[in-house]
Amino acid sequence: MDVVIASGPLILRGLLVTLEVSVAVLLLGTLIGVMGGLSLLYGAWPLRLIARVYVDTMRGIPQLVLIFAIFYGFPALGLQVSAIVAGILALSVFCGAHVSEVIRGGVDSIPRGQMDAAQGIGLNFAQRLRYVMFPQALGRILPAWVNTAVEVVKASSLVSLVSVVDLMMAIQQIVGRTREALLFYAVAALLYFAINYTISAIGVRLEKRYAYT
Amino acid sequence: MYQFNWRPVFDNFDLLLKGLSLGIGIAVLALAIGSLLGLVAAFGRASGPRPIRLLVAGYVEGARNIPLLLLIYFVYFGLPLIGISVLDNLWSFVFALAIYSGAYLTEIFRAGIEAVSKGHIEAGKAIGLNRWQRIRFVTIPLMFRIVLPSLGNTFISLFKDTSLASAIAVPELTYGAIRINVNTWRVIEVYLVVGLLYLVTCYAIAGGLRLLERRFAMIR
Amino acid sequence: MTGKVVVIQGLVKRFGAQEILCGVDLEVPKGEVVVIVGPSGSGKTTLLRCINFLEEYQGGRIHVDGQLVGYRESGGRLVRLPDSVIAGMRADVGMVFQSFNLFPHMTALENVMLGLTRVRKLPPHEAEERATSWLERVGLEDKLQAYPAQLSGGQQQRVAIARAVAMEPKVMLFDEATSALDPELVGEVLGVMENLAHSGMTMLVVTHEMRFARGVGHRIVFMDKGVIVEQGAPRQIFEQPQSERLTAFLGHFTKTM
Repeated sequence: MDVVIASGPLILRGLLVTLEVSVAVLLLGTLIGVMGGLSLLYGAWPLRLIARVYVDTMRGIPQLVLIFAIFYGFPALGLQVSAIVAGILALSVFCGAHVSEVIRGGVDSIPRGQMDAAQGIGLNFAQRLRYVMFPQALGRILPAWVNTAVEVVKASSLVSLVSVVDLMMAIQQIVGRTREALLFYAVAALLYFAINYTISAIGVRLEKRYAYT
Repeated sequence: MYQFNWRPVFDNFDLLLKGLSLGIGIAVLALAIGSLLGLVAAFGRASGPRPIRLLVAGYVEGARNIPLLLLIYFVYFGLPLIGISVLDNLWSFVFALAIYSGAYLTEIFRAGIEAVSKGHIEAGKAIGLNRWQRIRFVTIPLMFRIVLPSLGNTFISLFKDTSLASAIAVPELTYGAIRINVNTWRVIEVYLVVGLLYLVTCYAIAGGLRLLERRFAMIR
Repeated sequence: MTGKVVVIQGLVKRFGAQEILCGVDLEVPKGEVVVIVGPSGSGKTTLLRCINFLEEYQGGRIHVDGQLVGYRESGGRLVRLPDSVIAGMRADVGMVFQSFNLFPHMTALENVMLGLTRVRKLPPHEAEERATSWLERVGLEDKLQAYPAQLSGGQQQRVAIARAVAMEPKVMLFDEATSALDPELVGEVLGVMENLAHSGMTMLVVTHEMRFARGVGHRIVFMDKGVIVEQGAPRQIFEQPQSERLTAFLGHFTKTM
């Protein structure tokens, strides 16, 4: 047990990095995703095409490949990036594609009749979005977005492969040193599980609040 | 201006292709083993005694909330340290990926089993099929047709996940990219080509899936 | 009990607190066609489903061909039989469902053959012969390789009848076999059922088709609120109903009769 306590600070620092990366990716990714989602739904056809290509491309390549491509590729083009920035960038691009689809799906699943009724009572486009569309879409988007958040936390572990000292890397270093694999992998599992389970629990709460149908 | 030089990539193209086929092979194996796990777990959760149901719930929640990388490291680095050193890096990865996918497949199969119409099962009862026969001739065939789209998507995900095998030096596609870069450092070209290879393969699989769905999917 | 294919005594069935069947007595001799009619909720479908133990029952006894259905007697109490035994008993009772319930992943021929090979344990070629012959008898010789999705409702139901009858059951149960069919397809199914009746099959038919009941039934049983209110020969039931409830029920049908 002293081993655990001795490694405590290292684990904590790694945990912090994991959380930083996850939050950064989620924020950036959601921003990109909202733009992407709106483009898919309401954009002019060139914009919609770009968004479509973006989403469909990200669906077909592994996140790790993008991380490596940015981390090794940018310097080759003359852009200096740190490992953590490369990781956050790559994962955000992915998260953005995910969120775009989540938003598109959430809005598309609202029956056509809703918009017809809204137009019928004379609301303009912005009003329709704000009072009729978004509140209902939110109930469908929120749970999917929470799932995305969980995926982001799990994907953050990939930055350890470009030597960022997140939770995953910290645990690897400790295991390498102490050989107590079972113990520390279990600790890692528990920590990741705790984070993700909490996120899911919050998600369930939010879902209940916003489920109208 | 960056000078493109495609030679190193295309000189080593066979390496990439071998890595690609290894990736597909790994994904197929992981899907097969994971499906076995998932089927057993799904039936266990649907109709087993309480301890089994709790065990399955624990497995599903546990495996779905931790990073795949952690599972890989645990199997590859962890197991030998407690005496189980039977698996080399390739099989460690397959095993880890199978366990990971099994958790997702359990839920997919469970939903599929519930979706099999009660009427069809009653028709099976009415002609005198016993429990095991109903499961074998009615529930499982119908369930597979219902979950085919989900199974296909899982397979595509698994294929993308094989890129993580590079972390333990399994010679699949991503590792191939790393190796070429180590020798030649044409990173942009390499990752462009590798990215394209993944993309094309994923879409080819998706296309094949659509064909399969047309042939087998349920019109209920 | 000799000569009686189905003997039901004091049958009681509850769903939770509600009593669906409140003491039903019925005896069906071999070769008889019994048509069960009544308003929805009267328990007629539940009665049928108890006979092949798709539903459990809590009181009374059901015997099919002398065998107690679903339970064994143990000191006056009913002990549930294991699934494999119940499955064996179900092989001798054929059932046709309102929603056909053909196995969608099998052709018409395969649907009929499944019970023959797996339950009756016939060798494949013999099963195929018997299945083919039954499908021919219901008029579907050119649809052997068709999947249910490619068949009309009437055709699907005829395959379902063939599937049940090919098992050579002691009694056939029809649970509103034509209620889910488009009107123009009802006739072809009723025709098959009529042929079956003429060939001597013991049948229990729950239906709203009063013309069929009158023309093909040997005995009409009228049920309401979980009990048999009145029963008798078709002529007597339709022309001289004794009870008020039956008269009221028949009143709904005078236009179509």
